[in-house]
Amino acid sequence: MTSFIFRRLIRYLCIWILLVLTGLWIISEIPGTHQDLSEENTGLDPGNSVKSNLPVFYFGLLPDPPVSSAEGPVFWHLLPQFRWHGLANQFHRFLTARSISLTDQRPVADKITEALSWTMALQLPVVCIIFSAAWYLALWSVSWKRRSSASWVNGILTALHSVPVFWLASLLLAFFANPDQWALFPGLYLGDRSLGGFSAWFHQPAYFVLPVLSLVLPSLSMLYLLSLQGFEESMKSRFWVRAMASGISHSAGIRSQIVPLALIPTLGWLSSAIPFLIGGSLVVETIFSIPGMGRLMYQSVHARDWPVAYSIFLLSAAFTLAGMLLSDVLQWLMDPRVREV
Amino acid sequence: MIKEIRAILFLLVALAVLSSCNREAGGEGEMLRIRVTEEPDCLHPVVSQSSLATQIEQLIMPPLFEYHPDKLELSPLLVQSLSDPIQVNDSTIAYDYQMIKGVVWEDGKPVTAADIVYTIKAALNPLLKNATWRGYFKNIVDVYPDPANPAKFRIAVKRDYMLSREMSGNYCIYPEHIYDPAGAMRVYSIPDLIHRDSASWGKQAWDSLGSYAARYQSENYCRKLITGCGPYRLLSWDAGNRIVLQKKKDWWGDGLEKDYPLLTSYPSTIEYLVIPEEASAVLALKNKQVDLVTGLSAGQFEALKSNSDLAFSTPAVMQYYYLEVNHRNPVMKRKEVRKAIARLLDMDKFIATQLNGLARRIVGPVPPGKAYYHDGLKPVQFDPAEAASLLKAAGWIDSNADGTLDCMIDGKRFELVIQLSVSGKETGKNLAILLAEEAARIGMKMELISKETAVFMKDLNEFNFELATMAARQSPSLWDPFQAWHSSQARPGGFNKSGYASPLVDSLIAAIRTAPSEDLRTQAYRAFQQHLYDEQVQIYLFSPLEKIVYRSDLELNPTTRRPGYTEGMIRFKTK
Repeated sequence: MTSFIFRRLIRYLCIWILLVLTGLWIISEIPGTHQDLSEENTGLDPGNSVKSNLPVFYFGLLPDPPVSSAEGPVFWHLLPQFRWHGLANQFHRFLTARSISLTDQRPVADKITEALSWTMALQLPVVCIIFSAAWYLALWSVSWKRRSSASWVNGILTALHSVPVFWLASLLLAFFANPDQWALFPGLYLGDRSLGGFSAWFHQPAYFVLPVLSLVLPSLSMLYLLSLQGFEESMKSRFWVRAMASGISHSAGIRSQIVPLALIPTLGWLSSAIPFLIGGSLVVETIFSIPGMGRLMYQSVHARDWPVAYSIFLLSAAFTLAGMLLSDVLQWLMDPRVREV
Repeated sequence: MIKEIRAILFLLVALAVLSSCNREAGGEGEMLRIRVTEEPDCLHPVVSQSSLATQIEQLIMPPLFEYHPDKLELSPLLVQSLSDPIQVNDSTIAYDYQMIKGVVWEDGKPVTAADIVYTIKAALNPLLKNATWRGYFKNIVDVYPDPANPAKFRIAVKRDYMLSREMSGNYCIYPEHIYDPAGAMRVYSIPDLIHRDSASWGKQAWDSLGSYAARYQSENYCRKLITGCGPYRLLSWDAGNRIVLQKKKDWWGDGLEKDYPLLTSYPSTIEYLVIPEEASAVLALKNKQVDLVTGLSAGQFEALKSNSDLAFSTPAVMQYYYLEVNHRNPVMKRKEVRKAIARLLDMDKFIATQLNGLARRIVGPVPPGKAYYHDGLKPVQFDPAEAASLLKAAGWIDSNADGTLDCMIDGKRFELVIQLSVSGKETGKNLAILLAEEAARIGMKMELISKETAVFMKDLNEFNFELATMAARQSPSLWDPFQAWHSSQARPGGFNKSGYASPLVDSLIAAIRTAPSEDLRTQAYRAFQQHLYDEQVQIYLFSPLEKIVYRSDLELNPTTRRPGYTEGMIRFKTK
């Protein structure tokens, strides 16, 4: 077990470092700076830990470009050359320096923490609702009595899946938060947002209904189908026939025999949901004026506020990989076939 | 399943009922709630760059005098009266001011000449992120406090600077004892800060200025320590969401509105709510969660007009759209090409169809309300036939029969192909499409290049464009064309983006800046506008009207000063 986790950890750490370097390279290639937008050239280093002239990482492997053809055969210049850059590199500065946002001089950590609390407050219930609703619907559908109703559920969920989130969110807002139609839910949060997203649930829970629905409805279908497929395949297996032959009830059979096996493919979905927990949804956050991570990332990229954008990128990458690691460990624990491999 | 669906519906209905109980009744008290699309970067007058920041700062830390929103003339705010210039010597004039009796900071301490001196010194710190501001402040010569009366002072300004009066006090003033309690800037003098270069400061002084600048630009001074002598104080700043200003109790300016109308401050609380999405802003307005909304699209503005609870205003604000021409490009340098482009734009139709008529044509960069506006110039009319004949007369013909006109320029054949850069804005894009369609009909090919804002600005700053759709802002003060038009600014890194350099323009700019009388200045301004018009150096399009929607129980006083309203002067009819 320990060796399995350790090997995976090393693998994901390498991937993360590669992503870090790719991110730095992409930022260095994107045209335009915050200064271009502000039309103020100070000549001062704003303590920006990214997009500087420093080397990217602790060491470099890229070969020197050929200076002239007289230096020898060209292929020498294609071979990697190891060089040590020491601590004066962009990655180290990013890890150690207290980054300040270029747009408003606030610490990057504060901005991200605030935005993260809003994104989590929105996305955690969304993930829980999707998971439980999809499972419930799939369980309900596999019962032999409800074959015809199940096809209806499937049809509705597929139709909802095909609706763009932007459209659905706008429609929900226009119909259910509009005094010209039915102003059932508030379209704007009136409380103090600096207290964070979770406190907003206590102050004005109805505010979250429409954003949560906008995210849940289009996403239900995929997990529902995944779970349903898991159930149906398990029900074709011999152990299910044997379990039924042993005389246990249909529901007890599903609980004890089918559910553990059908849970395995959905673990992959759970790991893919983690980036959404961190990254947020730009569309829904913009439409419902939620100051979450999606909106912050979008605004930061547009303003070329790299200290913020890069931090969000790294955080999302880290959590995605952590989600994958978690999924691997859970699969290892739950599926003996993985252990054998 | 039916049971579960019932339970979910019950839960949703319960939440809806709960939310309707919770919902704030709109406009309780004299609270004014204004929608803004983004929050200001900072609320420090020297460091901040957004126009919303300036708008809010003036309510918290007003200047000595400001332009009156109706008359567009300077009117006193903190000083007893405006001063006539006093000739000191050939190069310097001075203004004498005395603070209104009882002007105090938020903590009750009096506003003195020392605070004015400090404000100027702080802005002149060479390591502060405010190159533009510092450039203006360098026209100040010195400030001389009256030793007998701390509320009296004389401020000397360069005589030949056209904005000398504005430089004597049309900027936000802030308290020295709060912003610089240790007196770090006291050791420097104003002339030193203006004239000394980085090499002459010495390491210790330079480091001290640097550390002061860093502290001054920090989050603490930008977002927390915001204080002044204005009618409002910053109650809270909920980042990314809202800024709340609260009227000070027993404010020194209460009761003085008759003599000093700019001290008027009706609302007891002003809330700026950040709502970027237009649809959300409209819903918030309908739900009475916001009282005043600006920045709507023309279509949405028209759609709201059926709502009887709302009122509408469309003041002409000081902003205009134009086509920036890069004169470094051999094709765009040709006068006939620019004149032809100006005749290819059916602006009247564009304003009627795309902007629902909510804009007016312009002939140059001077807003029509100004005294020095050249009213003899008429907007160029849409005339593709004349555009084609202008090009033909100048030698543009389709010699290689490829469908595009061409011409020999300096011994080299150039096709009439122009890259038209547009940023992400919808108006600019629609304008570019319209122009490209018309241009194609007379053999001029426009290649539309849509760029993301930062890339657009970068290319503009590096002069990497041929023709670009642009918007510019104007101010109520005299217009100084130096930065945008002087040949010395056409160098890389300069502000003359068009690269247009002409001795005539340089001499007219000098005449405008140093004219000894207003008549002569007006003459120079008009000659300058005439030249821009004749040469079509830039192609001026239209000035949009601001679209303000507000609750009908508000009494708004629309103004041409951006953003089109003055918060302090907005009244509640029923209250």
